Amino acid sequence: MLRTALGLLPLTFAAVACGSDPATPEPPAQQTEPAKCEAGPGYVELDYPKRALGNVTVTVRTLDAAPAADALVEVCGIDVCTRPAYTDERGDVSVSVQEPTTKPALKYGDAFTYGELAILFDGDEDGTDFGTVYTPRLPVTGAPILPGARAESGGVVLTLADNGRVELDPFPPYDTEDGRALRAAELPRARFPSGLDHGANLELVFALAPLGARLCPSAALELPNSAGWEPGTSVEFLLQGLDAGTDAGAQLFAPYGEWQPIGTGAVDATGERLVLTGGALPVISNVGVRRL
Amino acid sequence: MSHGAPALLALLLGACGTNRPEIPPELLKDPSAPTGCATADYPAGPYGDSADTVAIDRCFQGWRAPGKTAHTAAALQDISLGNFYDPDGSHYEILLLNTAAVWCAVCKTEHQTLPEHYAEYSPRGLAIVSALFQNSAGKPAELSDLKTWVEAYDVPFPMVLDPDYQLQDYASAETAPLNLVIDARSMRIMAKFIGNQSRDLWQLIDDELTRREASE
Repeated sequence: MLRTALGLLPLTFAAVACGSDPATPEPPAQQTEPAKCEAGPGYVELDYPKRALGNVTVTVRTLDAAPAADALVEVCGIDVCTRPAYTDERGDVSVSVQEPTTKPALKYGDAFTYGELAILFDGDEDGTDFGTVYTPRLPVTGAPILPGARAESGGVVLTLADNGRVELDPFPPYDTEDGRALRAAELPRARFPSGLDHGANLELVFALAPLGARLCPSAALELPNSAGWEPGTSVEFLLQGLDAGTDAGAQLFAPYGEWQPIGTGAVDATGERLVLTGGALPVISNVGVRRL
Repeated sequence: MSHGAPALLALLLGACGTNRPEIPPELLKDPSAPTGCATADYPAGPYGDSADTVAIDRCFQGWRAPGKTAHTAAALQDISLGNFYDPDGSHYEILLLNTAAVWCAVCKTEHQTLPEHYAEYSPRGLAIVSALFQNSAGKPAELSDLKTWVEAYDVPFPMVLDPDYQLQDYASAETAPLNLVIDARSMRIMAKFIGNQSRDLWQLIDDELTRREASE
C-alpha cells in the first residue's frame, strides 16, 4: 500500500539496460504490459515500548567458525538507527546505542560479503551480549537478475517474469551492476542464533542479497532441499521483514525483524529442490522454510 | 497570511543572501556558526538544543529545489536556517529540520514519505530542510551521496550536505534520524524527535498549523 501511495523509488535499475547506450538503436517498441510491483499488505506496530540498550556486544563468525572480520554490525529499530560498526580481526564488535529505540534488532553482515541477519532484542538492559553468531559468506560472484531468466546463487534460484524488473536503492554496495546481482547462501540450522526465527519454528534459512530489491512482479523461487526431505513434502516459505519505518504500512511484506509467510510449496519430484508454488517472492530478503 | 505557491516562494525568498543583507562574520550572534550565509536579523538567543531555546543559524551547502536543479557542485547553494526565519509568518510557519545518513535504514524509509508530507503541509507554511551527514560507511557524506539521495527519493525540499555534522548540538552522529520542529516566526525549537516518530511528529505539525490558521 505504501509504495502504491508514494510511487516507487525513481532510481530503478531495470534488469535489462533499457536502451541506456545512446549509440544503440532502439528495438521496435513492444506492447507489453509494464510489470507491476506487489503492493504488500503493509505492517506497522507502534505499541512496542522503546528500549534503552546501552552497550551491545557480539562476536561474528563465518560458518566454519572463523572470525568474520570487518563485518558490518548495527542496531536498528523501526524508528532509530545507530551508526554501523565493524568487527575486528577476531570478529568482535561493540555498538553503543545511545538513544531509546523501538523494536530494536541487531543486524549483522552487509548483505554483500556476508549474509545480513537480524535478531530482535527481547530485553531492555545495558550490556546485552549476543555471544557468538554465525553468518554465511555470500558468493563472490553474483548471478545477474534478468527478465525471463533463472538467476542462481548458492542453490537459490530466482526467476523474474519476461517483463520483470528490479527496483533497488542505488547506494553501496548496490551501486554497481555486480552489486545488484543475486547472492545467496544457507545458514544451517545448527548455526541459527537464539531468537533469529522469532518463534517461527524455521527449519531452513537462506540469506539473500541484494537486500531490499523489489522484484516486479514477484518472482518465482526455488531453494535447495538441503534437509533431504522426501519428494512431495509440503513446506511453507517465510520472508524476514527488514523494512523499518513508523508510517502506516511502512513495513511492506513482513513486520520488522519477524518472519511472514509468503506462500507454500513442496519438494519437487527429484527431491533436489523446494519449489514455491502458492506464492512468489516480492522482495529480496532472508527466506525461511518450515514443513507444513 | 498567504502560503500560496510555496515552492516558488521557497526559491525566491529562500536564496541565501538575497532576501536579507549579509553581515560581517564577527557580528554574528553565534560566533561558532559557520560564515557565508548567516542571516542579519536572526533572533538572539538563548540558543540551545531543547524546547523553547533558539536554534543556532547553521549554514550548509545544498540544493534548494533538488527537483529543479542540476545535481552538480556548481549548482550548490548556501542554505541557512535563517533563510526560513519569517517573523510575520508570511511564508513559513514551521521549519522541520531533518537529518539523514546513508547507513540509516530508518532515514531511507522516512524519506519515502517526507515528500508526501511536504506536499500536504508546505501550502500551509511548513518548510523542510534535510541534512545528509554520513555515507554508508559512516564517513562524512559527499556530493555524490547527496546526488544519489535526492535522485533516489525524488526530494522536493531543500537538501544539504552536513559532512561536519553541525547539528551535533541536537543529536549524536551515532544516531539518526533527527527531526527538529522549529517555529519559523521565532526560530525557537518547538520539539525534538530522535528518530522517525512519524505519528507524533505529524500530529504536532498538523495541530500547530491548525491552531495558527484558526487564530488568524
